[in-house]
Amino acid sequence: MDDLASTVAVDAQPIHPSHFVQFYETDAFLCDAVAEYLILGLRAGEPCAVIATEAHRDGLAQQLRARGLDVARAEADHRLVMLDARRTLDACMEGDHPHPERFREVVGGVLASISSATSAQRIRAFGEMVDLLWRDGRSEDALKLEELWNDLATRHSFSLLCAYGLDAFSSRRSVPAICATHGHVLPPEPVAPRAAEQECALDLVSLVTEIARRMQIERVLRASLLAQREAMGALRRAEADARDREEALSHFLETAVVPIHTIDGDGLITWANQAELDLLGYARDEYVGQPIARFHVDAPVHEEMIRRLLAGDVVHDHEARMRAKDGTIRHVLVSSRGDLRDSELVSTRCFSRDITERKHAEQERDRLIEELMRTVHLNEMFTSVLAHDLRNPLNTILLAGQTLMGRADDTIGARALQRLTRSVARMQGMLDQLLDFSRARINGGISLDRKLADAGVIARDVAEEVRGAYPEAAIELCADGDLRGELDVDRIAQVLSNLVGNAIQHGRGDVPVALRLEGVSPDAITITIANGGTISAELLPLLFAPFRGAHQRGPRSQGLGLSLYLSDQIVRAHGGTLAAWSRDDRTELTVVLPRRAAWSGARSAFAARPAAAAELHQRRHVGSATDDSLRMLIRSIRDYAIFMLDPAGYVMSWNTGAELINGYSADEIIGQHFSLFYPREERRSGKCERELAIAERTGHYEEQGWRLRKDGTPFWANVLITAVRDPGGELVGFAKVTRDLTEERLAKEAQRQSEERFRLLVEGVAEYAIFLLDPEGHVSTWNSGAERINGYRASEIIGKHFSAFSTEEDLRAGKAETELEIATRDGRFEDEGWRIRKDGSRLWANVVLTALHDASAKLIGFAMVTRDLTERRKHEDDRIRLAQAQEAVRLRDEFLSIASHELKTPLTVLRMQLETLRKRFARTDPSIATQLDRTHRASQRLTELVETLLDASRIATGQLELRRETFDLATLVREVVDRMGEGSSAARCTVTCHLAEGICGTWDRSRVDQVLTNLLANAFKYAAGTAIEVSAHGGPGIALLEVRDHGPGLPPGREAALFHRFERAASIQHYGGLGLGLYVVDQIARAHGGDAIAANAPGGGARFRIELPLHPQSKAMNV
Amino acid sequence: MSNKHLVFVIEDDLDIRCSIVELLEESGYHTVGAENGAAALELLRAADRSPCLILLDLMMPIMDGETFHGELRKQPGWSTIPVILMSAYRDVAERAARMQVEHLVKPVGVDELLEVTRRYCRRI
Repeated sequence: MDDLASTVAVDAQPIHPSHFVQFYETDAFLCDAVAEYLILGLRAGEPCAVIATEAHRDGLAQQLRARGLDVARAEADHRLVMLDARRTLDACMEGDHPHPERFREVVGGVLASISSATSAQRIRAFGEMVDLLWRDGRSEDALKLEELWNDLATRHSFSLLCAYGLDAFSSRRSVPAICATHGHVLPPEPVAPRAAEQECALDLVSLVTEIARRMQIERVLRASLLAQREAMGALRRAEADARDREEALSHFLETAVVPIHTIDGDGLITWANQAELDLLGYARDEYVGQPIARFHVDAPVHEEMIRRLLAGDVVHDHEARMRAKDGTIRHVLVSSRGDLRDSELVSTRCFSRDITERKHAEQERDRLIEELMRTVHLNEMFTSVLAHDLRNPLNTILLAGQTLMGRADDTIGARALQRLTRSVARMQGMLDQLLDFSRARINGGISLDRKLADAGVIARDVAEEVRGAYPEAAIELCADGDLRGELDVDRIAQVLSNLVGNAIQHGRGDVPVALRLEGVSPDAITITIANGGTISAELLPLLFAPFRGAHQRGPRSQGLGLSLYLSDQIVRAHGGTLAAWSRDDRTELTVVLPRRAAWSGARSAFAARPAAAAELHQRRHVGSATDDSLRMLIRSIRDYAIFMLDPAGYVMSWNTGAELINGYSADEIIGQHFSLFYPREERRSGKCERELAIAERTGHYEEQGWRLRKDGTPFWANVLITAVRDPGGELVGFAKVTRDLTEERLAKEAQRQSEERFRLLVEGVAEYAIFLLDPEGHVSTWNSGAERINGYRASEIIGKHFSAFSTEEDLRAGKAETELEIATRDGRFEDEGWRIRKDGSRLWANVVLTALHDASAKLIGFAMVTRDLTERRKHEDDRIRLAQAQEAVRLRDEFLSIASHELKTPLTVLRMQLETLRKRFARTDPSIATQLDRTHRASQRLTELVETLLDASRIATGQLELRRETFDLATLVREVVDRMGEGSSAARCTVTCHLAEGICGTWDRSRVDQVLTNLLANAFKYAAGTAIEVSAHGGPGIALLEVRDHGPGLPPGREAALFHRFERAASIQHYGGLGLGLYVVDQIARAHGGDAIAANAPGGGARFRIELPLHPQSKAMNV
Repeated sequence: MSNKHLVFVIEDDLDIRCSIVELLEESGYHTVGAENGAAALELLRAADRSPCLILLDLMMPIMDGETFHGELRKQPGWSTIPVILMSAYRDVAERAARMQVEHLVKPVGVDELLEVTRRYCRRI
């Protein structure tokens, strides 16, 4: 049925859904069908318009009446309007064709008038005009008219039934066209089979039927399509919404400051936001799609994360290192959540936090601390080395001086030698002081060699020595009592010598210095040094401070201003005190020295209570009183009713407690029966007699029960009745002890409630571990804080001894037991210390143990409150370490500066005297000349060392200044090599020069000289006996100076470190030297804007290269 | 064979070594100087008799004082030679106690040196 297809296009819109077409054969069928159509409408309140032939109008009217309609009435009401089809049709025509406007006017007008007359919303219409046209053979006009009807439906609300007689159709060809103009094709009139002519009719009917069916299907399809479209629309809207949300979220994520990325199940990056790309510096296509493992520096870290995600964990702040595009490493904390399906990781969302700066700061700080700590460690070596290096030359000078003293026969020479020797002694003294100072401040204290000694003897020796040094001074020595103690003899002598010497220097010459020793106290020796003179109030507090400033020094002050400081340090090292007092032209310095070294037991965070022992003693000895006292005691007891009953139960005695508890006065109750105290029911039941009987039989009766007070109020009592017998065993009576438990009962209840509240509180506290121990120290309760801090779950720890939290050392020392003891004795123990968690890690905790007692003061256990201070302590520790290290370095620099300055004075004297002596003796006595040469060399060495120290300290405090001048490098090199000829031959080194001429630069001549000198001196020392090459040549804008030897070379890997302060290539055992020479070389090079490089030369030996820019550039000095 | 007592001075500092050697020589002792422990051992082997005293510095290149002393004590012929430590280090006392020898703290004066040498080189 091809022609059908063209009509039943599913997407075509229906012309008018309520436009029906009815095909009929017989008029009867038609009228019946239309009448049914109309009556349904009328019953539904829809007025009807009928445009039909006369015959059909009559037929319809008949059918309507048959269906119960009052047709006349309906017409009168305008509910039914019947019009002639032909006349109406003619009214709509213009010429031979239906005219749209006319049709609208006429038919529309009819509908409008019906509508306004009836106020109906909808009209039912039946029209035959189209049939007329069709029968007239004007099929096109008929179709046109159908279209006009359809158009009218857009203006008026009506349904339309058209009818076509089947007899008007000669072929089936036009049927589809007609159907196409209608919304519904009603089932045609069934036709009974007849002749061939009817075959055509049958065919038409079946066609119509088929069309009708098809149109029905079409309607259903269309409806479902619409529904689908509707649903799709809703879906699309939802999708659009979701997309919007997703976009918003995506935008949010994309622009979020936090780096975020997602990874699929194969570990490939599926998405990354801008922050993530910025973090590592990649473009999107360089990052997304790549395996994330590629960007992880440490594969194990990444694998660990994966492992945890696969286990279903949420990874939080996992530390990782990521490779950025520029090759740098970023430190991040990654938080990640994975989607698991069937134990496989489908996707992962990762959030990163860039902690690179923090990490670097931490690493920097750690490095700084390490470096500082190393430098602090080097102090140890430094002080030792300093001692060695400075003392050797001193020793030479001393020996020479002393030898020559015996020889010199002329007074000038003798005096010079004397001065020389004294200078040495002064320097020696200063050195000693400085070293002591460094020990006290930098190395953490002066160590003592204590032996049993007599302070009086020491004082006598010192007095004698001081008298020798100050012949004019008067010293009065007075010793009293036992002056023995554990003392470092040399050090105490030093102290006394210092103090007495000071007293003489600063005191009034006319007042003798008193040195008084007192050994009366069993624990300590007191030494007083007094002189005439006053120390001002401003100066007094600073008396024992190191390096008393120049403005504070008196005119007779000598030396470094360290003697009083060191004396104080020595006294403190002994555990004693040094104090000064000055008033009215009299000054006293008092030293108190403990006879014995102080007990250095474990530091305790508590103070012992001396009264505790006494209390305990008291408690145990409350007994032993006479009868009278006992009676008095009983009488005065207020908490218990204690009274006697005669054998029959009558009250014989009464105490204060009984009066307070029961309410009766003694007068009121004595002689009464004790059943008075019992509730009526119990009295009636004979309870009292029963109690007495039991007490008599068994010796005592005890119970808790209700008793009555005088005013009738009941109280809960604990009652004890004891049978009292005479020595013969005869019953004398009963002793009754009653205790009012009412308060107790209420208190107990209240306590229980408060305990409950407390328990909940404790349970909930997470910051503190609060738990109970039994009297032996086993854990009996646990709270969430305890679990968090210690790591144990309640089930794992309850019942265990609390020493489980102790460190190994504490376990060995039995600290836990001690803590319990102290808590028991003092009621409380508090401590800060290391504890061990369940996983073995350490925590720094503040622990408070409180002993708990019941009402009878019996120990029932301990409450333990622990607070985790680990983080705080770690920060504290780091802070302290850093501060200490910095302080140590600062002090060492201070020391260097003072040492070098102070040593120069006697050195200057020394050199002057030596010059004098040389001039004097060089010509006359050659052997003396040799010795003097030796001392001259020694003093030179001393000077150099001191200069180096000074330089080092200047550099450390940023004071190295260059005095530049232009000169030729080769010339300078030759000068220096020349000057060091003696040294090179002594070291059996040959020095050859390869010097390019004409290298001129603007440098500090003496400093460059110093550099070369230091390098050569180094070479002589460490590469003795080998060939040394010095070369100087130029590069663009730069001069290169090199010193190369053929010695053992440098330890590989530590070449750069050689230029650090106090660094040394060789072990201290073998080579002396302060380790400052190369440091100074490096600093001078840098100060010029250049550099110093050390390396092992090819073919063996060390090579030092100094790069010096020819002219000054603006380059900051690296200190 | 000389009648004089033999004293060894083992000290790496040239000037001090020479000063002490000179001083002792002038005081009548045959004195031999060595710049480190290894050289001293060589000289000991080569000597025709044992010294009556060895003055020993601690800090020296090639072989230091403590190592030398250890080597010395290993040889039965030398183990009884008196040794006195000389050092600028304040902990020389502890080291000397450990080595069971006497010690002098630098700077050592003429009198001190002469006194200690006299003490050990008294008997012939």
